[in-house]
Amino acid sequence: MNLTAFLFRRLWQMIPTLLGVVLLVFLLFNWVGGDPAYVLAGKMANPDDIANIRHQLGVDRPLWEQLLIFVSQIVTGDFGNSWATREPVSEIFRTRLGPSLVLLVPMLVLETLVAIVVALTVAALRGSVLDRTLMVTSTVMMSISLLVYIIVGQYVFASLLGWFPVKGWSDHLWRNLTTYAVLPILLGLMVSVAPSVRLYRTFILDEVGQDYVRTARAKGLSERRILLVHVLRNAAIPIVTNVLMGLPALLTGAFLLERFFAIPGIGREIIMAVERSDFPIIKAATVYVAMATLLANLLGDLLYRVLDPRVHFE
Amino acid sequence: MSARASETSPGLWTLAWRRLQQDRVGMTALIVVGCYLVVVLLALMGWVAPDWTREVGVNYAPPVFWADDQDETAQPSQAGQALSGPVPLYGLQDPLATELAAIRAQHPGAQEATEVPRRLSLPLGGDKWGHDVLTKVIKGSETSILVGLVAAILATLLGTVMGAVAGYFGRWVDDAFNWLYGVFTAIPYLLLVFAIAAVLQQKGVVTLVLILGLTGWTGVFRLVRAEYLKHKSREYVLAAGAMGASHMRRMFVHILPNTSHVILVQLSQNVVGFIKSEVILSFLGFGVPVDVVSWGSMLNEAQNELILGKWWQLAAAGVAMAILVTAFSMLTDALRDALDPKLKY
Amino acid sequence: MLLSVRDLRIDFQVSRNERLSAVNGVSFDVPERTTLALVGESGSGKSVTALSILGLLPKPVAQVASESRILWNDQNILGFDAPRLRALRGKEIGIIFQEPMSSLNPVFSIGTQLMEGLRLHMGLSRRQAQRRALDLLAEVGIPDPGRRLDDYPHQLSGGQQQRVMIAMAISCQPRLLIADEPTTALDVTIQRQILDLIADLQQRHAMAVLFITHDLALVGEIATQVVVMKQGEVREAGSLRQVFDAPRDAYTRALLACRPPLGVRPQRLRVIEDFMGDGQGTATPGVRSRGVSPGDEIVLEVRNLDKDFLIRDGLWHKRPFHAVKGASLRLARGKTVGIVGESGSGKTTLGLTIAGLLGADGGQILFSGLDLRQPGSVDTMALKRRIQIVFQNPYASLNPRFTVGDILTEPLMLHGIGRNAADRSAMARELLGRVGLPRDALQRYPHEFSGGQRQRIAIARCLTVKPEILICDESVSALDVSVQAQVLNLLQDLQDEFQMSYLFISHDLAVVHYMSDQVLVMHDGVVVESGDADEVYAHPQHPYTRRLLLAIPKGV
Repeated sequence: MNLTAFLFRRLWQMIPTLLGVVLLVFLLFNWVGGDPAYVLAGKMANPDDIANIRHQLGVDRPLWEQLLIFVSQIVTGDFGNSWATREPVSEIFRTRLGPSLVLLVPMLVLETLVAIVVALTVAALRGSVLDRTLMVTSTVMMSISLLVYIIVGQYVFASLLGWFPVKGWSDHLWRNLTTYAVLPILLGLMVSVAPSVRLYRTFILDEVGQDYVRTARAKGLSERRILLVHVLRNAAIPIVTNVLMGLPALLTGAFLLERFFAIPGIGREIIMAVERSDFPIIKAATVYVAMATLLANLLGDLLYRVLDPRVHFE
Repeated sequence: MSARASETSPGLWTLAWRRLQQDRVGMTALIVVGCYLVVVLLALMGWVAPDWTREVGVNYAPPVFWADDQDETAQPSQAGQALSGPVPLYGLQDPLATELAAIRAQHPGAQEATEVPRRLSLPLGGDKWGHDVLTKVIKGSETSILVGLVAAILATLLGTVMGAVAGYFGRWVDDAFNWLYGVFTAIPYLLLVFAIAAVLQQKGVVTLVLILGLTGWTGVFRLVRAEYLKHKSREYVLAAGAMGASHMRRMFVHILPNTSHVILVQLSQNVVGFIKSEVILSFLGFGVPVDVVSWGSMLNEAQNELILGKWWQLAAAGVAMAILVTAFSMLTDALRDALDPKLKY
Repeated sequence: MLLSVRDLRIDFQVSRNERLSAVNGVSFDVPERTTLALVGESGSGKSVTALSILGLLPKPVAQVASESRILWNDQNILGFDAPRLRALRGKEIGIIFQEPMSSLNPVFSIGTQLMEGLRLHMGLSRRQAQRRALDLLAEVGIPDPGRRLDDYPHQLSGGQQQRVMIAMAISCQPRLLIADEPTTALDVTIQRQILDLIADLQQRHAMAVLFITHDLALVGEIATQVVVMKQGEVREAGSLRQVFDAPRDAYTRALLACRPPLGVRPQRLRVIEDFMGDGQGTATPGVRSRGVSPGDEIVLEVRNLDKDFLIRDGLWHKRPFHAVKGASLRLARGKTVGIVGESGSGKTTLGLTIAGLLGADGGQILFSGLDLRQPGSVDTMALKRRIQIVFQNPYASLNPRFTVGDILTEPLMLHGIGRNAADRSAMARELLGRVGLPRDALQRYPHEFSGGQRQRIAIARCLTVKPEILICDESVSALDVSVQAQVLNLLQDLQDEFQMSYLFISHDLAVVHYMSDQVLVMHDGVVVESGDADEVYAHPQHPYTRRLLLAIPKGV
């Protein structure tokens, strides 16, 4: 079975999940959430205004009609305007995506590389003092709240020492990468590397225990070649899959970093939207991020099948 | 743990407990977690830290061990300043001005009513209004741990039952639960929680527990389902079926105890995860209401205090959380090792 | 002497304060160009000994005593540093393992894996190594090696994987080949081919072979020298003829005797206690007569049974895979029908379907005249009592969280047998005695028992409900030969006592012959031959049956 057929089937299988996400978001905002008109109208509410707003939002129509409106919004990408700023939602996402990626992509790449190198080192030295020390350190590092890292890091490295700008963003990619994004990325790594190291270490150790490693030894190969060729090639399968599946978790960290460092990304926009009860933005964000997650999962699945000759596109 | 543990032959729980006792790190972690739980229990009964809202110290009272280095005479004036007007932020924009305003609005009465002499220093220092940080950190621990614990129990219960049913019955039942799992995992966890928090306007500890619990079942579900898939075709379950044991009996009397190690480890992991989530949510103001203190809300206040050089609230909340989470994580690892089914035979 | 092992002692550090002695003072010699078989049951330390020669034991856990010597051309391998050991591995000594599938790296092509050793030890260029790899694959009998070179291990059958492992092991012309249970994971017909290949290569390359096995019958096929091990010690060593014809050690004698012979069918199998105990043997002389007479009451009749599994095929389709096609059999009261076949033949599926654990897709299962496949035609609860099953894996068939008492009283409770808990407990204790276990076992957990004891518990669990039919699905296959004999004797005794009918499923032709009145030979889901056991074994009609019978190691 070939690649296109596989992709086709997997995309087809995504449809029920996406419908579920749409339904969940819809029920949450249009049914559980109650009448948004009161939120919007605020304190000056008089019955006419509320009726007017309700009509504008379409919430005076039956639920199924509202669902249709929601679905058409998703399909066309037109979620209307933000309730708070009147800016079109599509415009918000278009302009906020860039900064988020400037933060996310280097974080993902660096995290993966650092984690693999450290995990290989500790796996090679398993049971040693260094291994145990690093494992305990990583547990402690994981236990400190991301918030504490950010608050202290921002205060010490930006406010006190002045090594980095406290917050801000520019229009130039290079300047952002070298100036504004550095501290957030480093702080993000502090939190995300430790769990990855632990996970990759177990992946590698699982492979080290396999029979084929014994065969490789019996052939007279060096420990270095066994680890870097035989073991790593096998461990790469769960690692790569995990990197892509771990994207949503990284996203969460990016939310907070964007907010603290005033980076005009999607995460900060979502947090502000939650603070302001800006429903259109949250709804759009949830649905689109879900789509992106599903695509990332598909990509992970695809890579898994490329890396593992035992699995076919079936 | 198990009713059979007392009999002549050691059961698997007894053996696991013995293995845990051999693990020094695991036992230390267990004791630390136990201490936290005792404090939480005492706080819950009102025997310690009964009222964190009392303003017992001067504003930003330093910790006792730190007070010597400070200029004692400066304290009253600073206190007065804080009482009379808004805290100066040295020209920095305060991103949480709205929350602070809300908190301030909650407390003006308390501030004026205070006439008892305030202490210049407190065991772990004081906050902006002179609340005792030690009391706050105990109450905060109570909130954060309880939220984490109850939400974890709820999520684990949900995940276990759903995973058991899906894995055991397979076919369309499995498809249905897998669909639900797919939907919930397609949305990044915190985003989903944010969305629910945005919709539910009322804040509260119960709401928080429900949000975390109802969305956090996916990890348990995945693992328990996998265990049930594996065990349902194991020979001891087939033999029970051949004997005429009902589905319920096979699911819950035969298989469930054999997946309990997975569930217990997941429960332990969930507690840590939910505590972290609660802290982030409360920090952002989507979590506990303003009249409840948690590690998250403390960190929120501490963020602005740090700029003024008042580091103690941040340290207290940060360290309290780090110790508990470290201990819990190490306990989880120790449990995983002690309960490892590969060591059964 | 090519290889001399002197006073080998190996301990395993199981936990911080627990050491386990795996090998305890083992000495033997492997001369040039001979095949030495190291024989023993599980726990004898034979594999540990083999692995220690190449330093392949897990490092911090396995500890070799300092006075032990493994001499290779009079040099102590145990004192070699890492580079010297690596120069030995693969170059001077090759090794193959029990599980060829997991022993090959799944993500590299077999060509890559073959060439790796050639380039390292022989200093061949890529092209030279590739040419040599092709020759090697041809030599070990892989058809069309040019196309196979880029295949991954999972694309080969188990037998072919083991051939590739052998090609890898002999690629650098080693002087010693260690074969650690190389055929245990393979079917009999494949086992025969691999044994022939090893014997052939040993001659052609003038190698010595150290052959590790649990199966004495294999030893007779391949070895010239034999070392028998038990619990980390050598019990007997000598030439093949001497060990087989005039065994000096009681344990060796027992091992030779407790395999069911193909020719005659003794009343009871001889067990290890007959030789090693205080002389209180249970062996009774005499020959057991088998076979069914026309007047025997038929308790179970299976007619044209089909069982399909659905396999995903293409984009949306599912394709049925016929696991069992049109199987029929008749089982008489108090008699045994044996079902033999290799892996994938459908024999276990047939057993599970008859037991009602899998739904059939066609045909009839008539039990005392009632069709079990008609829903509602029978009271299932009452029916479940009457057909019971004993599984293969004694470690998976008992719930590890139940005490033996719980395991035995549960069926009694489910079927409302016994007035109260004390009553049921007494019945369970009774049964434990019947299957030869101490009565105080009731309060203990399965993990405290050995494989053979667990299989007894599983049998006792079936006996609780007094079944008429007992399905034994590879029930003794996971057990050591000496334990196998004991369990087979127990099953035999129980049949004599309770007049149960057995459906005895096994890949082991000798065991099936010993146990069965009639046999069914299955191949690819189809019953290719059936009939009276002695008749089928003596005069096989179907070519597959003939092939199967020819592949049985003849032993002595």
